[in-house]
Amino acid sequence: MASTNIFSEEKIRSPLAHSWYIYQQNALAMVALWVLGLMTLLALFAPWIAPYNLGYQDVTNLLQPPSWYEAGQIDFFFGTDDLGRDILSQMILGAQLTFGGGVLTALLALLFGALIGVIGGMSHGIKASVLHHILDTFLSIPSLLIAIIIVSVMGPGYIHCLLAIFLALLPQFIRAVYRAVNDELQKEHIVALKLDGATHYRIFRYGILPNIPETLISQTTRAVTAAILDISALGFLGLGAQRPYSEWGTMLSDTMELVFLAPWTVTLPGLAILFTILTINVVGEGMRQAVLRGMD
Amino acid sequence: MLVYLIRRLNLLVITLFLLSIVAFFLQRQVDTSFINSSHVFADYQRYLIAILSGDLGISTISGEPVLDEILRIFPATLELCLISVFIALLVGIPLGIFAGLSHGGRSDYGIMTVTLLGISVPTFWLAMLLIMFFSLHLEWFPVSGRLSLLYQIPHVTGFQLVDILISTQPYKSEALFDAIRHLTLPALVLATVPATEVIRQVRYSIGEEMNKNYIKAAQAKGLSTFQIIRRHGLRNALPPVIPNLGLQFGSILTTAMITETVFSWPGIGPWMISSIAAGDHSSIQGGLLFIATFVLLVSVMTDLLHLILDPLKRKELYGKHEHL
Repeated sequence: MASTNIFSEEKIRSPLAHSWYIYQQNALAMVALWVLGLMTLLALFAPWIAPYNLGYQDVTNLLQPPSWYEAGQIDFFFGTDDLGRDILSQMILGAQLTFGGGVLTALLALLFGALIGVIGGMSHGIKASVLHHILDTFLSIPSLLIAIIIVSVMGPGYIHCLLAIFLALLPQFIRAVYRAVNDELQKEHIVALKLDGATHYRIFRYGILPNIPETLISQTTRAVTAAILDISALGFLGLGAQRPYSEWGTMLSDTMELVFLAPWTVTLPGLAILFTILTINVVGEGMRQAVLRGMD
Repeated sequence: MLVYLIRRLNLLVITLFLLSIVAFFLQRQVDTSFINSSHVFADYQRYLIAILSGDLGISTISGEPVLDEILRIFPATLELCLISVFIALLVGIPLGIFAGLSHGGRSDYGIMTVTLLGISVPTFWLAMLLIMFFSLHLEWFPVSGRLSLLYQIPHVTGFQLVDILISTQPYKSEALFDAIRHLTLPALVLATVPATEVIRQVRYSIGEEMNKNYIKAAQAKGLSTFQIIRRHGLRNALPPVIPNLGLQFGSILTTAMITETVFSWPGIGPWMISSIAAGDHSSIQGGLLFIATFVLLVSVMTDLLHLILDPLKRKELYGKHEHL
């Protein structure tokens, strides 16, 4: 068959477009990406989507089982808790606090951490050394413990909890970016750039930035999942969001005594957390693989 | 080596110093005895001398010295942590080897899916599910606590199992059985995260190790897979795993604090949470200073131990170009 391609040159995609192409081949990751998009919409428009308001209590329907039980009602799809609050509405509103808050915190930490990490990584001498070694030791204290310490200083509350998690995630980003930049700086292509007389900005833009997305992606995935788990853990311990806010962990801590009476109040919010974290992990892993293979 | 040691200890001291400043300001908020003093630095100096001599202040709730309380409570947490690390190794190493050998195969895929679930599940929810199923539904294990109130075991080391074994009570074996039943669920919950970590690392390092030439040589000599793993594979694949577990100790301890809260395990977790809820600042600052110091010490110690035990890591240290 005659080739319709007159020119023998192949069309080469940009690395980003190529990575996206590879990502699309991964069916599971694509599904997870769609789910993540839907969850983002859910978190953004939660007050309009949720069937009942935040404070709504139906005192005639306490501990109503979910609709698929014999005694369930379709009005309360996931049932109600011991105060007659609709669980589905609470979970939708909670998506804003747990999922939305976690993503927002992690992205802010990414922004500031990457900035400080890049500056630290590209500078030399005592500044870089202090950054490196202090962080090394500081990082051996886990983020949740730092968050607990900060919350215990500032007092419980949702905003305090977000701030604490932000401060706890920051060193991890700084360290990861610092490492990646520093490793990259020692490679030969940077030396070539330097010999060409490139400015610091050019070295960063063309020498370093195209080579660190893998670090950024895996670090961001880890940070988003850690932020969501930490927000819900702090909520569970009573240090994070307080009632009436229906943060998923806070919802779970309320239901401790209902385990026997109303198991759905325990299983459903927990499943929401598990499902969210799984989705983010699958998307993150897919993106990492795609970027890795896209660069080769 | 010596330079490294000194630098590591130096950093430890600096970090502890920063921590003590945080704790000091926390203490200063409430302690009225500080108000009489004129200067912040003089106050801090007094505070530093006090904590160095082991005086973490007095709890405003119970009226007991904070350090005594912590030392009484902490062994329970430590016992839980150590047992779950043991479980994690017991489960994680064989599964990791299995996954590493069938790299890319069906069982590898299955094991990795389970570990993905393991890192995605919130600990406190897993604990509640296990209570729901095993304690309430099947009634195999008790819901909470550390030992049935029927048994009176004198407090010697604080480690329940050790205390029972050295006690002279007539119901020793019954008490031991009861303690193990109480321990099972919390330890399993706590072991989830370290176990997934062990599986991932062992899988990775076995996968790396099995492609090397000396393994091929061993295969050519006609050794069976089991012999190769036992004599060659494990010996080279395991050393990086153990110190990593040591570095994870901090997160194990934090997870333990949450797990304890769910199971009403009388450890440092519920104690900290109730102190925070009650606004007992002396206990909070004492607790955070103690936990952070402990975690930092463990991490520095595992680092040094790794350095002493693993010659490859030492080589790395000597060969590294320092840009200090």
